[in-house]
Amino acid sequence: MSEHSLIKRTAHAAGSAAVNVFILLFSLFCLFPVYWMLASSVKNDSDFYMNLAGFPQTFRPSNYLAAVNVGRLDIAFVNSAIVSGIAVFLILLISFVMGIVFARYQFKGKGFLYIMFLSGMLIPVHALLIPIFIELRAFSMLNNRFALALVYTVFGLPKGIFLVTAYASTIPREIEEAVFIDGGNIHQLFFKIFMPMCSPVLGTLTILSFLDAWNEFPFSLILMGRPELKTLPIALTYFQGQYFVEYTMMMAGLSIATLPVVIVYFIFHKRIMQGMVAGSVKG
Amino acid sequence: MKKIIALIVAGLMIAATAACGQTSAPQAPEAPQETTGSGQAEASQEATGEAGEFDAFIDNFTEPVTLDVAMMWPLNSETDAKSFALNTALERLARDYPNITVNYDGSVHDDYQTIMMTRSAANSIPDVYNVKGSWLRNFIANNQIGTVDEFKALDPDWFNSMYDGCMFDMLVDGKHYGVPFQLITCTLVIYNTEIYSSVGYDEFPKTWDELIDCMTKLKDAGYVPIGVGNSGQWVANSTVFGSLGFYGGGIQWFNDIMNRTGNGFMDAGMLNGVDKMYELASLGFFNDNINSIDHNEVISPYLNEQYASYINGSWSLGTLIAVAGDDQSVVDKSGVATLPSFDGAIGPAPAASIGSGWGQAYSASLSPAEKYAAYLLIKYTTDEEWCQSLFEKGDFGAIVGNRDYSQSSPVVQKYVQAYQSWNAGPLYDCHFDPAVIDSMNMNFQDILANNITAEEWGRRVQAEYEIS
Repeated sequence: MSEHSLIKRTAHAAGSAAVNVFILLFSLFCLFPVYWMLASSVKNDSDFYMNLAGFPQTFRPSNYLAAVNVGRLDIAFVNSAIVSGIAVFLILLISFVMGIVFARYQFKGKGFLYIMFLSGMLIPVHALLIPIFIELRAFSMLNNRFALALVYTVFGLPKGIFLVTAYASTIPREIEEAVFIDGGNIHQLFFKIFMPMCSPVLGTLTILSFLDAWNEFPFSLILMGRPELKTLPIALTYFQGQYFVEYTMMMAGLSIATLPVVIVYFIFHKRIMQGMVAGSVKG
Repeated sequence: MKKIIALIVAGLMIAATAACGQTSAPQAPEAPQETTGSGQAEASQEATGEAGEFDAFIDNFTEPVTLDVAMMWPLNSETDAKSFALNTALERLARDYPNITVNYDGSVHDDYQTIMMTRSAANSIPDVYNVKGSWLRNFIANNQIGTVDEFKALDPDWFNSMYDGCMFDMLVDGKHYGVPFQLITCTLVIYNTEIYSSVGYDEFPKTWDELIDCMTKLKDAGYVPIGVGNSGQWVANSTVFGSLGFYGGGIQWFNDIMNRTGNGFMDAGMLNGVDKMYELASLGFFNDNINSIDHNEVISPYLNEQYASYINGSWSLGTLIAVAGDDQSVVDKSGVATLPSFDGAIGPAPAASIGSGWGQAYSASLSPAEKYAAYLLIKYTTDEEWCQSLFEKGDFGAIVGNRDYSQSSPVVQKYVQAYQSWNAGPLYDCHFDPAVIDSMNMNFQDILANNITAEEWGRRVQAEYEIS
């Protein structure tokens, strides 16, 4: 091996090592908050304050049990699951149908309706807190999980319709024609043809909608006034006193609250990676 | 069909617009109040309390009543003193008055304020709730709060036993609209006596010149002289300006602000106090991260003896003791003081902001039976037994009483001894308009970062004050 070649290979290896070290450091930077949350969740208060970023000097898994008891995380967990489940289901169903309609059909007022739905993305959530509170109070729907899920659905629809419309508009026209030529009806076209083909975007939408509903705070705070109806983000605030925060219990609670999000992500992330309509139409 | 759908959509949009239009923020106060300025509440003659409305309930209150209650304490906390005291009070109430059902919605401090602002704007106030002093005028203007002076005749001993400075926080136009549930001292310097002795100060400096000299020596010795955690913005106002502003402007400046007289936030005396805060910051006596850590985060470096002292309110004592855990050595050698006065000051010294800030209140729209039930709940959450429950957890109610502090931490004993000898200044953020307070707080961050001078601070806040 010539000296020049050796120098070149060494330089290349050094360059690769530098890039990898940078990526490693960046990964550690990103993972540190997760480590900090998990490490803090098993410290006692003294260890937490005196040793903020270090490894736990004490190991107190009982923080998790205490977190469940203090924050009533068990009840909040169920509430969040119910509300998020209903909201995700409704967002998927309505976004899918509306998205296909907007992408595949021409009708009068389509542009206006589409813009009206999308304009929902431009309205700040906090501007609607009071009107929605008044509206739901008028219909006696405060302290109602389904009402909260409806609110989440309304806020999730603009994004969902936008995503499905954009995705469905790329599906070839020949597919619809083939379905009708083979004697299929519109119901079969929507739910047996388009729905499986839209599964990647619906997977993405599931994750995004679930994340939004699972983590939503202001509406849950305002609309759910009874302890037995509080959702997880609200329950996690119970670790704050008037003038102090029970950080260790809060971190244990956050670790518990993060788990479903990670699970949902791992279930659906492959869907996002799948090809869009590869192989659906033979050339 | 398409036309029908279009009509429905248009109708919904109009309805949504109308709903938005109907909502409004709580109205601005109608008229400034007359403040006594002495910390003594002077209730009006006609507000002495009439028990007549409640005669039917006093001896035999069995009518079933359900109260919608919202407060800023979750019920399940294992360490929060208020949560403990509230559970005890609700148990007592349920035992004594099983006819009262309490539907309790507990949340935490900041979230509670969001809930109450929304419910106030939607005119959906709970039956019994925590009220902040600065909210009173808006709630009164919107007829959302009743005067608690009506309860005085029902139990004068209870009503009259409150610390005067606390009752003052609930006073508007000669009437009280809340019963205080806590006593807080906002300007509290917790200092390490051993470190201070090492630079030649066996006790906390008594004059401003001594303070500067002491802080300089502490800084030269490698310590952060005074820790403050102001990321929440309110901390510098409550805990530092509470004393310095009172020294500089005295009670006269406070009364001028409340009555809209004088020079407002361009008052030279008050600005002298702001300038002292600027001086402490410019000399590097505060921690560098003062605007990015919260008020609890100063405790850890204090216990690690990196900070020679820190400024916070009396509420931090319980946290200090809890965080120290098994090693109370630093806590035991901690002293308690307030900031010293300075040349040109017109307010009395030593002084600290002492009061309640918050109180228990009830909705103005209750029926007589509901109001009587509200009285009972308010009484149970402010009375001597409430205060004793708080004391057991290291907190303080608005009834000072004779308590046995022998089992308390030495730092608590020193605090109790100290604050009773101080002059009580008002809690500014409990009385001033919330928009003005926001402006003060935001611009205090710039003062602490030495971005603006005291005069510029005054100009900015004055601009907000004039439009508030």
